[in-house]
Amino acid sequence: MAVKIRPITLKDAANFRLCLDTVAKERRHIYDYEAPPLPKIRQRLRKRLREKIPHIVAVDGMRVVGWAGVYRPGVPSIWHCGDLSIGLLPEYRGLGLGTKLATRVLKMARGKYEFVIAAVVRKNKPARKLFKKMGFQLCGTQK
Amino acid sequence: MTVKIRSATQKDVASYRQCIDAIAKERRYFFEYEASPLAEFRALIRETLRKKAPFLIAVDGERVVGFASVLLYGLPSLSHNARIGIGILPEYRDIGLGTKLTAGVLKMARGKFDFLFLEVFAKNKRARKLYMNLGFEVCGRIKKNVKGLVYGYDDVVLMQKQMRR
Ligand SMILES: CC(C)(COP(=O)(O)OP(=O)(O)OC[C@H]1O[C@@H](n2cnc3c(N)ncnc32)[C@H](O)[C@@H]1OP(=O)(O)O)[C@@H](O)C(=O)NCCC(=O)NCCS
Ligand SMILES: CC(C)(COP(=O)(O)OP(=O)(O)OC[C@H]1O[C@@H](n2cnc3c(N)ncnc32)[C@H](O)[C@@H]1OP(=O)(O)O)[C@@H](O)C(=O)NCCC(=O)NCCS
Repeated sequence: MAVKIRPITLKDAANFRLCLDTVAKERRHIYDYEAPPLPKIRQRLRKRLREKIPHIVAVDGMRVVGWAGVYRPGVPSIWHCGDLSIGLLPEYRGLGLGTKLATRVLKMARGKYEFVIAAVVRKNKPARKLFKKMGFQLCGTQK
Repeated sequence: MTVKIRSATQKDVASYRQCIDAIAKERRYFFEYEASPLAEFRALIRETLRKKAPFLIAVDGERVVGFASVLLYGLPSLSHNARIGIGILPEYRDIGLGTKLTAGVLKMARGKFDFLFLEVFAKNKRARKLYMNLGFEVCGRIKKNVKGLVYGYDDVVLMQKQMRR
């Protein structure tokens, strides 16, 4: 499999949604149990592209197999802190792709944000290891 | 001034919004710099009332001068937890109203959630004291997470309280 990493485009919306939905439906890693409907995804994507929000995908052919983004929070008082979102389809994990995605998206986030924040469930070892490697510090645990 | 504490109704929405808006515009205590537009706000409160989330207001006559409310998470993976938000208009602070409102809401929330969470700015000593008094514990601190008009940067302190075992 030849996986490429590149900036997301509006054309990726449906494939990106499928990828997000698959990871959400595992109900293990991210807070959502399913992806939002496609129009909502498109609307958000359009806004993120317009605002030049760091947002990339890993693609295998046309298929989106992973994503990473550093999104802008809703209210202006915390716009200087970006929220990291990252995920890969199960069969593409543990191959170093997460490291590549994170490295690239964090580089794009430099200059755009002063801090990047990631929320991760405690049992998610690969993600915690990855974030630690990228220089994140633990600042709290909510039970 | 005679202030009463009671449950909110749909009729209080406009006055409640003004209360939140005034505090938001101080730019010292809330993430938001202003309240959301009335229509959006109305929909939000309708939802809160419909779901019977614990919610109390303090009124001076008909005017809403303070509130404490439990905010439900939209996501099923977090529905065993909730957040709490409180606020009092400047001229009604430091006379015990915040403590009364929050204690009342906590009582209503008992047994309904596993944990209640909140985020408070580090420099907001009064609110932190109130939460500690009512049994919240610090579970984290995010550096320089917020920019306010008065304080500039501030850390955000995360707190939680266990509501059932
Ligand atoms: C988290 C995720 C993006 C990491 O990507 P990945 O490509 O699998 O991770 P990498 O192969 O780049 O490895 C990252 C680190 O975790 C380690 N790791 C990978 N799988 C692991 C496992 N099962 N247990 C422990 N460590 C693991 C790797 O060894 C590597 O550390 P190293 O560089 O020190 O050796 C990916 O696993 C994923 O999509 N998970 C599901 C969604 C998710 O959890 N998103 C994050 C929510 S906060
Ligand atoms: C925070 C707020 C709700 C507290 O309500 P209040 O009615 O003013 O507070 P109370 O009178 O009930 O008491 C607050 C406690 O803080 C203490 N306190 C007051 N100022 C303090 C300070 N500068 N440092 C430490 N403690 C302080 C009081 O002594 C009291 O503790 P005690 O009962 O042990 O004596 C209210 O001041 C407010 O709305 N502030 C602005 C909005 C806000 O901060 N909301 C919370 C955002 S997370």
